[in-house]
Amino acid sequence: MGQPEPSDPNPTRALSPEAQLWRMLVLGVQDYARKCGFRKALLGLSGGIDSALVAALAVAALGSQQVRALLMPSPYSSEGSLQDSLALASRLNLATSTVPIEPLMQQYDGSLDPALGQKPEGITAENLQSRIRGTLLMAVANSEGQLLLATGNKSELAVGYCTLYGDMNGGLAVIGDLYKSEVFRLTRWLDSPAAAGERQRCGLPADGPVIGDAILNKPPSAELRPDQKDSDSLPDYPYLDRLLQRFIEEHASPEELIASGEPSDAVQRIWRLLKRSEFKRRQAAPVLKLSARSFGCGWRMPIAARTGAEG
Amino acid sequence: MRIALIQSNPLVGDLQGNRQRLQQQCLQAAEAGAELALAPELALWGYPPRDLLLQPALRQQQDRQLDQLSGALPPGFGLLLGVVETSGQKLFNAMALVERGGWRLVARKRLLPSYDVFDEQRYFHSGDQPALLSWGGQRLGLTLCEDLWVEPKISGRNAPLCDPIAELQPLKPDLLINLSASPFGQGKAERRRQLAGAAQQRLGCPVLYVNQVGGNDELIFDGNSFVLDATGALQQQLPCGESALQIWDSQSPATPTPPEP
Repeated sequence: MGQPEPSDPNPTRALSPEAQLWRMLVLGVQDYARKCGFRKALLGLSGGIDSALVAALAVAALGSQQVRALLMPSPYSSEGSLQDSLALASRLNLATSTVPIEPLMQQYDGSLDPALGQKPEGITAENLQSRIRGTLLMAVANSEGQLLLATGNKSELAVGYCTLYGDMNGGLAVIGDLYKSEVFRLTRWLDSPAAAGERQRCGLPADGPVIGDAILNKPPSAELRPDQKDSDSLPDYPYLDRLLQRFIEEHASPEELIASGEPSDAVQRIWRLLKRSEFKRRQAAPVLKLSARSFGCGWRMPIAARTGAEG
Repeated sequence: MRIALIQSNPLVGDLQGNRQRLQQQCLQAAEAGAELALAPELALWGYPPRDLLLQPALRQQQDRQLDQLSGALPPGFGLLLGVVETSGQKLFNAMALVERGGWRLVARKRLLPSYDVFDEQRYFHSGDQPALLSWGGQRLGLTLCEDLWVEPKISGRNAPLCDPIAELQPLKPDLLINLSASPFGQGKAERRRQLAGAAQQRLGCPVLYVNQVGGNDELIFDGNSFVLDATGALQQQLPCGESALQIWDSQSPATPTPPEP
């Protein structure tokens, strides 16, 4: 803090909604780390937009020298994942290490085979990949004294499209109160000229993209099985997010949404997913709050419960 | 009167560290000629202190820190800040005036938010009267955070249990002071200014709004403290997301300039 300043000559100068969100997220990461006694942070970079945004926020909050990223490709990772992550890390001047997880996947397959009577398949195999990555991240964070940042968004936390003791690992869920559509909006803003002032303010490169078109434009995928896309198991994000917002922020019931013209199948399914993942959210890292209702102490839902709309 | 607005970023529970930082800012404000300084709600604790409030030892430590602070302030200088008041078995979310040689409680929060992330009824009892403090020749109307959120049309909330602003009207304050710890929300900075504007219209006096800044666990406080002048115009705006200390001069006496003959 400097000397007392006279009144701002232009007091009504307002920040755009994106600039405010960005500034709040940077402050949230910065203060959580500082006040908990961490100087350094770690995150996993998948090549997707969520971890890219969290990486940019971590660098803005703590400085590029204090942030490290782990790249953990599997046989299901697209070729772009690794390249896009490395390019992002280089734009952010971020140190990375690459730890392919295939040998560990094979080791788990072999060890579990006798117990399961077969190799792990389906969701079990998908979650194992996420948990292998989560374990690697925790090992590095332990060893180097870093704060591990979880990179899941609000849409995923809402429908349970996330793995406990896997990608949900971490001390802080940085963007857990941003719907996927909002993640897209904020990252596009970050790469636009409108963000120049905020980028400069927190020491990010002033020119050129931070996130980059390759990451901005790729279809969302968890890459846990061949050619998987989020759209295989979830409605398109703009639609999903609109329904979630009605359920979460506006306290709507499935019946009300169906009566207002939303298709019954989608409404019932999303409602079921939302309720069935309560146990995951109860075990999630603290979520930086940005909205009128974020997961955490402003969302107090029972876990073992049934309401009329149970499918 | 020259008043300093201290938009501080406390570390929750660090009563001594927060007191030391606040003390430094007060000295800085005094050097700049301020007679009065304003710090946020529960400024020594950091908001929200949650169940730390339940530890008697910490509340006693708060009082010792206030003693220390009063020993360090220059003569003639006053600091208004949010504190915890312990009264028998009851706690109040309160406001204290600290001056050289002593401190005293001057207000109790009327409206205790207990929705969304707020849990104040878990800890506090409500004050039952409006607070007016005569200090430095001025009548200061004192409110804490939620006490300003009395306009359902602006706040989007239910009508409050009482209306602390209406109750201040007959007391004719020269200035309205609101010490807050109000977390970020989209569009919320604008809403706070509108609520202050509504209070300004009802009281006909300037409004000084001082908010906490910084991240505390999942909550992020945006600061964005401000002053509305006696006409309701935004006269001073503190930054979004940064600690700040700014000086504001009231016209003294706080009456409109008489028209030219």
